[in-house]
Amino acid sequence: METIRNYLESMFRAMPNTPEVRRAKDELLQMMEDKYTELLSEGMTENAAVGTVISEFGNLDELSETLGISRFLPVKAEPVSAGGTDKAPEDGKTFSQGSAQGRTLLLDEVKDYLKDDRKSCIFRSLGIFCCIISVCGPIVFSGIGSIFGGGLEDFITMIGVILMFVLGILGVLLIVYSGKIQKPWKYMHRGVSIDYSTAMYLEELIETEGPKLSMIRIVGIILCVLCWIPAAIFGTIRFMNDLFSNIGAGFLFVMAGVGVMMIVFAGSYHTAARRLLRANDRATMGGQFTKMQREENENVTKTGILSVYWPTVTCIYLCWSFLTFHWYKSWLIWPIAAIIHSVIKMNVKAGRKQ
Amino acid sequence: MAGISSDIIRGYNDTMILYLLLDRPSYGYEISRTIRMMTDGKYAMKETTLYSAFTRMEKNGYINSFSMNAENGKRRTYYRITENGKAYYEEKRTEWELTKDVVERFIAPGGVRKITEDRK
Repeated sequence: METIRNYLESMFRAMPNTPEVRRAKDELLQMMEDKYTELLSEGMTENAAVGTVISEFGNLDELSETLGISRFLPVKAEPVSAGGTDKAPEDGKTFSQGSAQGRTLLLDEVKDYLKDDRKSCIFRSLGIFCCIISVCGPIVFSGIGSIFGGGLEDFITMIGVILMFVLGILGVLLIVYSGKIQKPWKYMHRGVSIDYSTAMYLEELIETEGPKLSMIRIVGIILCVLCWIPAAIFGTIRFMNDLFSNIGAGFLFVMAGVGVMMIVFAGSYHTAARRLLRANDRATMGGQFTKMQREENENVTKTGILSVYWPTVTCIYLCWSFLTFHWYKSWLIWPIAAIIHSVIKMNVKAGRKQ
Repeated sequence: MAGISSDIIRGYNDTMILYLLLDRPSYGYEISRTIRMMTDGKYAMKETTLYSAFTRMEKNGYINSFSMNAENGKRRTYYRITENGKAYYEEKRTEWELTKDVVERFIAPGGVRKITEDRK
């Protein structure tokens, strides 16, 4: 039945998204489903039944008049002109056809893209982490140096400074490299479209991995909120105060770094998948194969705001805290941010209902 | 191999559907199955043909549709014939009787006959 559904959805992909077209699609699916069930009950194999149903389906051109879509037909007759269509659809899984929406991506290609995007997401997060913890070098090493004093102190502090540069450069390199991974996929940003099975695949992916990513984000936020605690505890140690307060400050940056890394990771892990879900023109049936696609297509701006929301809040929190050292009150940003977040989310949902 | 003439039969798709609806309301697949059975598989209406006939006739007021739960609990669209539809069916029936009568005068049973012989 899934094959039949895929077939029908791809036939309708380039059609305008109107009530008449939606109804026609539902009705045709109903008829095909009835026929398929009956063929199975007559003892036909699944493959044979699918073949029969699809071969007896007919031609959508017949519906053009009743659906008022004749203007779409000339486009369909044209060969696909967007580059790189020489790859043939494999084993009948994709029923791609030329359309006004540009080239249809193959599922394998989409998987490769997602794999690279994830890799780039990991490298970017690690790069940001390195940049944040790079300041630990001088802080911690000057603390260690304070035990020895004299020329040795200068030398150890020097090592710390070198470490800072090394980590900083490493961080920048990682971020640059993450951008480089994405570069070959620039064409994914426009002029492509996805078929029904790809849309279903992406939606399932986002849904199954969603809870894990939320967990990562929450842990990241907790780390950011609590990162000043070790520093506060170490600061109270009287014995070798210079050393311990500097180590505490080092902990603060490491915790904040890990926290930010997790928030950035969770925020950008599905960027590619979500972008692909928005690939199809929302005015066509292909723009709403799945529920998630409809949500992505409506309110693109608000979804955009939500995706950069937590990294922005983290940034404000850390900047404010480090500039003023008012850690005792800056954490209030988080509960306030959470309230604002739910308000925005409610707005998005309300917008969808209209 | 001589198949069915789609040109001729196209004009009577609506009539066939209306005939089946005279009895009782029905739904897409049931109609297409009945047509296949009644013609011993000689004619199978494609799903797209069937659906475009439904929408066209509904627009013309020959049939109307309603949604109902089928035996298996799924929602299905049923079609019901209207008074207009019955009148249209009668019209098409008379038209066909006439067409058949006219065309048949030129179709000889059992092969080609010379027109000249016939005229004598």
